[in-house]
Amino acid sequence: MMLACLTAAGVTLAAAPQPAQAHPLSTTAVLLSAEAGRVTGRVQLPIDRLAIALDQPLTTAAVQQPGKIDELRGYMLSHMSAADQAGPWAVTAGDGAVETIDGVDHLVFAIVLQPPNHQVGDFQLTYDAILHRLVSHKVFVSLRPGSGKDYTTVGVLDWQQHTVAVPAAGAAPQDGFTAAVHLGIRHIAEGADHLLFLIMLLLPAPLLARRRRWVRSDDLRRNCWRVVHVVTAFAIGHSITLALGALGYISVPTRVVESLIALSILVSGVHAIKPLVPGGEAWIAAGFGLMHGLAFAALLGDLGLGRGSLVADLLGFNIGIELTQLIVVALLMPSLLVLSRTKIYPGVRITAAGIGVVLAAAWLAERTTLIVANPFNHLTDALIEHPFLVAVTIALIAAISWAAPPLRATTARTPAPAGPGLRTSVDHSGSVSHR
Amino acid sequence: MRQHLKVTSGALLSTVLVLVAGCSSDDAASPAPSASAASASGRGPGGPGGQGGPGGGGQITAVNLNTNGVSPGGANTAAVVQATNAFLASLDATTRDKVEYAFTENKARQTWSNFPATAVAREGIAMADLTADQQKAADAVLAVALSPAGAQQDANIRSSDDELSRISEQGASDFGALKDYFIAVYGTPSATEPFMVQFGGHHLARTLTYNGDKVSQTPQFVGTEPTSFQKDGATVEPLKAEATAMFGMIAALSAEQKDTAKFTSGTFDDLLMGPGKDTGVFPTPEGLQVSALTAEQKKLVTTAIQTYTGDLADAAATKLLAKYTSELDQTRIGWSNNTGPTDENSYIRIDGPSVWIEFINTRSQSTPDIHYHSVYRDKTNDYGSTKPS
Repeated sequence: MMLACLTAAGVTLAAAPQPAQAHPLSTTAVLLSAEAGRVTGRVQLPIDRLAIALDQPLTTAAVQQPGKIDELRGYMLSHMSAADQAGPWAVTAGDGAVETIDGVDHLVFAIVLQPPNHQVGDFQLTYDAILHRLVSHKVFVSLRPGSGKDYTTVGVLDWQQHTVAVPAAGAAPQDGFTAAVHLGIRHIAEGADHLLFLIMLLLPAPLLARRRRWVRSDDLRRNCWRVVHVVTAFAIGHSITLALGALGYISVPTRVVESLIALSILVSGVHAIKPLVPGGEAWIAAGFGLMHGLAFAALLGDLGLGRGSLVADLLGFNIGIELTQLIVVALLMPSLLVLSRTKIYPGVRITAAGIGVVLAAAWLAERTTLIVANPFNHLTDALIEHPFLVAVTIALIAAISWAAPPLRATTARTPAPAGPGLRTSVDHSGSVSHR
Repeated sequence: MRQHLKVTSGALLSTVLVLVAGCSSDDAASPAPSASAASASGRGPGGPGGQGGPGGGGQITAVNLNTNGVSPGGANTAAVVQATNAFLASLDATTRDKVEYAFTENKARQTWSNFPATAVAREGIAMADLTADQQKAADAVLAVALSPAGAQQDANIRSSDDELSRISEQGASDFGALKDYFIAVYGTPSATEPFMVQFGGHHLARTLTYNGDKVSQTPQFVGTEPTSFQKDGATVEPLKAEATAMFGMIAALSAEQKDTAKFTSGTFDDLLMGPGKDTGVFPTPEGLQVSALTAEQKKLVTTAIQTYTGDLADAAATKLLAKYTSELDQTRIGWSNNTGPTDENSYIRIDGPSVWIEFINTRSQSTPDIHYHSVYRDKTNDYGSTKPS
């Protein structure tokens, strides 16, 4: 797979359209990518021009000697700097490699430009490697808003100008902390599996386990507390492994994590149909939350966050996740609480849980490679992107079924002393203080 | 009925719930872990292969121009107006629209290059898109505006693109004497009001700005690849006059003078004041003061300058050369890298209060040998304008 990707990349390079030129006097290219909290990039130095500038008989083979490539990296770094109003940025370069670009061998360094405050804003790039000596040389500086986007030339450095303003503020996906919050929100909002797990756990929240069956609880205060417990337990669970994973203390293969997440939905779905662990939603949430945290950590690593200010990124990412969870709860829970007081709730709960179990089973099969293609992906894909419509629909159903007297549940079955809603004097833990 | 309603609404709600749950597929944690792993590993240090710029030609950043350039006058403006009007009259409305620009279109006026039109698009219309009669009328404009030597040089440079296309090993199939050369007219040709004739292509830029009696022929770019070739049984060397005079000027220096004339600020592989360098900022003067030369050597400097100014029609060219000659004592000459006509990166410069001439042996991947690039600017009169502010 890796080989295929590299080959594909090579083909793309070779097939990139180049204008006919009788004069491809090699230029230097500085290709920058604005990212969250930093700017990454590549510097392509034509080796023949490098040889002129350094007045050395540099060959491709000579350049590739370990000592030489270190020396040339040092040379390049000593001719490159970046700064904004907050001060100079940290500039680092990775291992160099020789690549043939437009038929000319170039020494290519991966670079990272790190703003001191982790806020990627407009900055000044100063660069004069080769140029400081070969004064007719040109350095093309290009910028793209993150990988996968197109480059735009932001300036050409030459003997008249060694500094160019790089408009990275507009291009950067956002600065570190905000970006992390957004990332967290987006990740969980688009992560069907995380949301489904949460919903499976919330389904039985307005109920009580009695003799291995779910029975209705009319104690609103208790029901709300259970929701809080579940959400908090999930948050604690995934925060622990997110932190440990992002910090590099634990590492679990992606496939295993994904499979365990599918299993978590399966288990919580079954639990929503028939209580497996009476009163144990919080424990299920916390336990499987650990698995979900590992997936979050993998994502955080993938996106290159967590290199600048890990704590800020972690915190932001987690806040984004929690915020989205709370929004989901806020959108769904009132409807579920109302529905739980209607006669259709057992049907709703069992059908929803059943569908959750089926989807989870399909994911599990796919992620453990039992099946190649998930037949339900089309379903989930087709039904995305309308979370608010969905929430409104559920609310409407809840309202209608509540408004229809035949559907409304008539008798309270809670064993607690029946009270009018919030003022119930005893809760399940018996911890209500007496006044 | 009641039971039916319950089941229906329950199932409906459940479906909706799944919609919420199945919000979206997601790269990192959702249905396709293998795919996301692949994209992560295949991403590598990647990036596009190409250079970031427009074919490496540099960017044309327009500067403000005025009509106050310093010219000693002597322009044959009336004759040029007549020839230009004749050319414009030969065009149909559509073609004429492509050729005519407002005099104030500074960016278009400053668009010239040592790259072919495929890399840096030229203004106006390609000679290839004109009829034979229209081409003749266009050539007639240049024949009137330039000296016979200047017009012949244009023809030779255009021939060199045919030759380059023929012999090129790589990437020169788009060149040609007709398809890579463009003509444009800025403003209404007039004996009293400013107008400009722009003609050029791959290795040529004629920028002829008239303002009554005043004229500017700069920026003027000439080049040729190859430097010498056979056509119809004769040897053609489009830049023979310039190369001979420039290399001759340096060759006539004593060893000591040559040492003083050698640039120390850096080395060169192309022109410094090429296309797009219209800000009026020139490098700090360096090299050998012409005032330190013998009369004989000074004459060679004048001869070298004459090969550039002399491209313009006689009277104006003579006045201009006289002006530059009068400034010789404030002029410097210098060289870098090498001093031979076929040597690697031989670079020669004449830098005066007004005149700026650069000549370099540069390279392409199209042919195995060096070829010539040369630019002539007037620090006080490029595009008929004073130094841009």
